[in-house]
Amino acid sequence: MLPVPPAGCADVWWLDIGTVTVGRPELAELSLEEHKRAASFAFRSDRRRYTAAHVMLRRVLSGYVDIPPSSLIFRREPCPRCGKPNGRPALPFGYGLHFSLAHSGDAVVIAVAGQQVGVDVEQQPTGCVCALSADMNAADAEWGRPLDEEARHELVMRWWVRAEAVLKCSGEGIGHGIGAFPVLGSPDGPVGPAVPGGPERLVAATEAHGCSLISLPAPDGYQAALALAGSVSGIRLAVRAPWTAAGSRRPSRDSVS
Amino acid sequence: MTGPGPGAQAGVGDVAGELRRLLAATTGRPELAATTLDTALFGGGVGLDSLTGTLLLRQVRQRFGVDVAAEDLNLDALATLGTLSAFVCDRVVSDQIVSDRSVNGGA
Repeated sequence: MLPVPPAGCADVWWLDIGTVTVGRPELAELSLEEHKRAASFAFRSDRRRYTAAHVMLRRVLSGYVDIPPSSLIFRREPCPRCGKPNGRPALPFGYGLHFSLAHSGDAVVIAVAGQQVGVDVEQQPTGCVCALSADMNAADAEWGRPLDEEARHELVMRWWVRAEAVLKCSGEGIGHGIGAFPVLGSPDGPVGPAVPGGPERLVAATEAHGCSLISLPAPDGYQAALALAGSVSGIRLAVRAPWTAAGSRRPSRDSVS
Repeated sequence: MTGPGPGAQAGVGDVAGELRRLLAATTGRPELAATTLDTALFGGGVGLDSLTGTLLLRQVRQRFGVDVAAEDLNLDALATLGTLSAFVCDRVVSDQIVSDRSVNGGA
């Protein structure tokens, strides 16, 4: 059984869904609710991403709590802002374990920690994201002013994943706004360990909205960030499953089914 | 949710067409240009995530001048393409009426 990371530490698990098969054995591990949600997607690629991510989440968490993946039950904590049951996902009895799941394109990332944790990954959109500058905190938006359009896209995406990681960590989500606090610190700040994994590494963190925040190195064409609740000067990361990139160049073929 | 009046029916179709175009452009997925009115936008359906959803709403605000997130606190308007189209059309028509009234001296 894997130990839950101690304070100030987080485990990170990457999955490239282009490298996995989601067949009957994997689908059998999902709950009825997850099957219903998967069936509600209009496009096969979205269904596949959702099912692969949730199979992986169950298998990863299973290793920490010694319960079979299919026996895990999830609940939603209340949102700390409005009390609605759409806050952080959690296991019913806690197990002293916190987790966060994000997926975009072919990338799935799961963070596990002994304190509240939030992770986000986003594939670089094909269109312009500069319109989101209007949603940014004023201090963060200042960093984008001198930049050309390409560099501003990078900055906006970096801002987005960092802000969303914080709001997933706090449990508020983006429904209450995403620009209430700055998250960029220095836009050229340090990032975490190399994507292929490797030894645990201490990564300098920025404080934001009661969280400690770092950018995660992400696969080509993606940006990612991780936030831990509380204030620490650095987060000790262990990449438990590296990104393989084997399927990242596979063209997606969406079809209505 | 209150539906648009009879005179706004053609407008809903126009808004839906424009929203389909914005959906396809925002996500980089041309197949979304064929999204039907009863298709969910989030949590299934076309599978918008928080980023593409926020981008879409930002572009709706730029294109139609309607701030959906600010005006519809329960976000019921975001259920499907049809509900979003009706909401935007309703607000655009309301604004037009207010605008016409102010032009006509509040008649």
